[in-house]
Amino acid sequence: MLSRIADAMFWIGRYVERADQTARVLDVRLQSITEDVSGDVAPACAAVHEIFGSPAPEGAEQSVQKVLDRLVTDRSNPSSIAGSLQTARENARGAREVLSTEVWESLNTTTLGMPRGVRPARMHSVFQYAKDRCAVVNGLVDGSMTRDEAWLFWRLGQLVERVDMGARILQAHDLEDSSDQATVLLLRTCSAHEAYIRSYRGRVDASAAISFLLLDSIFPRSAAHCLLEIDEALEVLARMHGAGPDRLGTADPGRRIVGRAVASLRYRSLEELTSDFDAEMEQLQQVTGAVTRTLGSTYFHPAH
Amino acid sequence: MVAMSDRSLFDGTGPGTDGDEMFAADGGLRPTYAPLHDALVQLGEEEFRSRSESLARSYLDQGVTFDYAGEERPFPIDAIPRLIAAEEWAEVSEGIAQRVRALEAFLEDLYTDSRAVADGVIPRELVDSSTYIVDAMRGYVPPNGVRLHIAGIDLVRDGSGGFRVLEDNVRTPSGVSYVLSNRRAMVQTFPELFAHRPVRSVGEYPGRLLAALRAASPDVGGDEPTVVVLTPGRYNSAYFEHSLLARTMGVELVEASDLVERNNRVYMRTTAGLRRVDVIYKRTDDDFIDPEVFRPDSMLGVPGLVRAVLAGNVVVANGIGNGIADDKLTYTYVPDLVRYYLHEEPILRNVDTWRLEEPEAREEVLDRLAELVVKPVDGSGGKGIVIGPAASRDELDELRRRLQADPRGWIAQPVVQLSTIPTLVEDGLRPRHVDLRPFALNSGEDVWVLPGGLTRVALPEGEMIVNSSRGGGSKDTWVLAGTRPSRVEVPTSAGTVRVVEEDAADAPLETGVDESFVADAAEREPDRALEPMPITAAIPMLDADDLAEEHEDRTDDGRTTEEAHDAQ
Repeated sequence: MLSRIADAMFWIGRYVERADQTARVLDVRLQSITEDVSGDVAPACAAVHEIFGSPAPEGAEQSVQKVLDRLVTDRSNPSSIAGSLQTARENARGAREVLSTEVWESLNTTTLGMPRGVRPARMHSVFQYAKDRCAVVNGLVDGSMTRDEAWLFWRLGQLVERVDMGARILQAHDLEDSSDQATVLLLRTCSAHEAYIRSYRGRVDASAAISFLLLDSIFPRSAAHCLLEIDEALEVLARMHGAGPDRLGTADPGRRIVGRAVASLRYRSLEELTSDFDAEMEQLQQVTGAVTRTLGSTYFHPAH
Repeated sequence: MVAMSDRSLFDGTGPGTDGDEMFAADGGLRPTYAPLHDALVQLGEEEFRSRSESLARSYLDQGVTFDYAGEERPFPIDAIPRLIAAEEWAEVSEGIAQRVRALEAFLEDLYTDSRAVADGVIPRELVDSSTYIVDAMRGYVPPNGVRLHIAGIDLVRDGSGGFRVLEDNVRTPSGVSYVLSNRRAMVQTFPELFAHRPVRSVGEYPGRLLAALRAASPDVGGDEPTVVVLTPGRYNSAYFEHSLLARTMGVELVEASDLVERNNRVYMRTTAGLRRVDVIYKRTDDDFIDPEVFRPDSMLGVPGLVRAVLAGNVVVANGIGNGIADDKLTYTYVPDLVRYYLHEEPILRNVDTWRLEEPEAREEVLDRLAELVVKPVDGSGGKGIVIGPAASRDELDELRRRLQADPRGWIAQPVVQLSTIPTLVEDGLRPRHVDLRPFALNSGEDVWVLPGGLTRVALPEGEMIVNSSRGGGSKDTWVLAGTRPSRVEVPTSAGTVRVVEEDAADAPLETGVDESFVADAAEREPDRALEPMPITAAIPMLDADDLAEEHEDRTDDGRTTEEAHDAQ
């Protein structure tokens, strides 16, 4: 397929996932800020901005409304929900001929349906809208598109973004605070609370939660699970492009990066991983960046 | 009560005029429209309005848009279709095909022998002064001889009721995507309107287009030629169309930066490396296609593309340099070209036109400027047109100066009273002016005219310019299926008459199903007969012995165990 279209598909996958994840994170975080009448709003809002790597707007007093303006409805910010959807839709407009009509129309109506502004009292319904619509888009991709290259690039974008966002959320988490409340908030932010409770039969434990989010092999949002899926998708892609027998993927630069990251997570003790947690999570984000770059040099902008 | 609200649907359309296609001047309904009118009245005003709204809504949801001043807008579609009777269509269709053949012959002649110039049919100055002749293409002969693969000819109905040609579009005629999507939307939103009279299908277009493009391919040694659609990108006003055509033909939609020339061949950049391209359906202007030939300063285009074309390794459709054939000054000579190349009388007449470069004509036009329409010869999309009766004194004075400074650049026509069709506006149904752009495809074997076309409608009251860039909308165009074979007589210069008889009885009708897939399946049928029996018929899904064992296992552990024991 055209390199430009492959590139577009990857980013559509990433941006739809980003919109979905942002809605999930904000839904939990902003609700907890609103509920906590004793807490100080400003630092809590700054912490939310930190997750998304976008510095809180300076000067003004921090408020939930300001977070909503910046991270939900600001179409010029590609990290906001509306902005992510807008960017996904613009990319999709350039890739119409490989998307099924249903996927395009769904993405189009989702983007057009995002409100221009939202008040804290109504925010949950907007998050719900974004999550529902992203699920519809992903469902249509799942149910109406052939598992060809186009789909693989979409899927890679989705997985890479998921790992990246997960690492950001973990990085912003305060390891020192091992209270049940903080742990549950972390799990809920990662949409992992219910899955965790079922796996651990209700026992909330800070380090078990971290290990679940990083290493659970069957939870679809854990870092290790996503990385293994990325590896598998890269392998299928390489075979499609006629790669010969490969020593466990070591010839493919993308697979080498992903493989190292998985091994590093898998074969080290949790104590070791959390001894400099901030640096580890920083590296995990760099892994997603490196995978994106190798996709670029292998498929999107190869030198001819 | 019901009757009152029913009647009000057409209340605002008045008794009609000579120029209205639905109502005659005496208020009577024209027979072609009678069944449609009755069906609409049956629907009632409230229902009609609510369905019209869902029609508009569906366009927004589907992203059927055009770019206007940098903003993406839904293309307005009006729910009252334009109808054309079978007999009249036979004439129009033959007239379009004739015109396309003449323009094709003209282009071939111009880029090879220039016989028409030598014989004095076309003045040498017209060719010499045109900015559309591309010198690099002189002497080039395309593999199947076709330079004009896709044409859109703009027609208007004049006061006497007949169609006349307003202009030819032989570079990048656009609008066919709206023909396809208008029909789809109408079938979905107003299914019952199609029940009264069979309407000819427009769904064949993408398949026919792909066939014409493949026919144009250089020899690729028995391989299937690779066809691509070349778009300027997603900010182009017609991007929706480029994308729809690529999607419905199942080919890649490329931008110039996706293409690269190596050793006089053109390739596209894919995830699996470079892949050869054989036919490029070009939807960009010539000026931006190859900086080596056109604009050395331009960053756009594919450097070396023209070299690859001249080397015979890739074909560009429509041909590079076609602009000379839809120059508005050339337009004035097309009837002569039909006689010269085809030895026939033109079936479709031009609108009367003055060439400003002719001194006598210029004098008359300058005298009557306030009552004429003046057009730049190289304009498209309604750009630069001045309508005398609507212009201010200052505008006319300014125009006069420009005409005198550059008479080659302008033509003038009387104000054509475009026909009207009732159209839904805020106040209800009102007559609004329309034109018609039929589309023709030339495969080299024959010229096929899409039964239908783009009916554009000017939405502001009294407005005569129908372009979408001037706030125009569109209507679905229904060519009605005939009940008997049609017959068109074309007088030839030998004094005889060429008779074209067509029996459209087998032509596909609108059924709401995508015809191209049906046609494809029918085509594949013979192939299927040659295939061996499917292997699955020879090998049963399950072995009978396995089934027996399965049964035994069941009796050992399953629910029937007790029965089995009892039997023992």
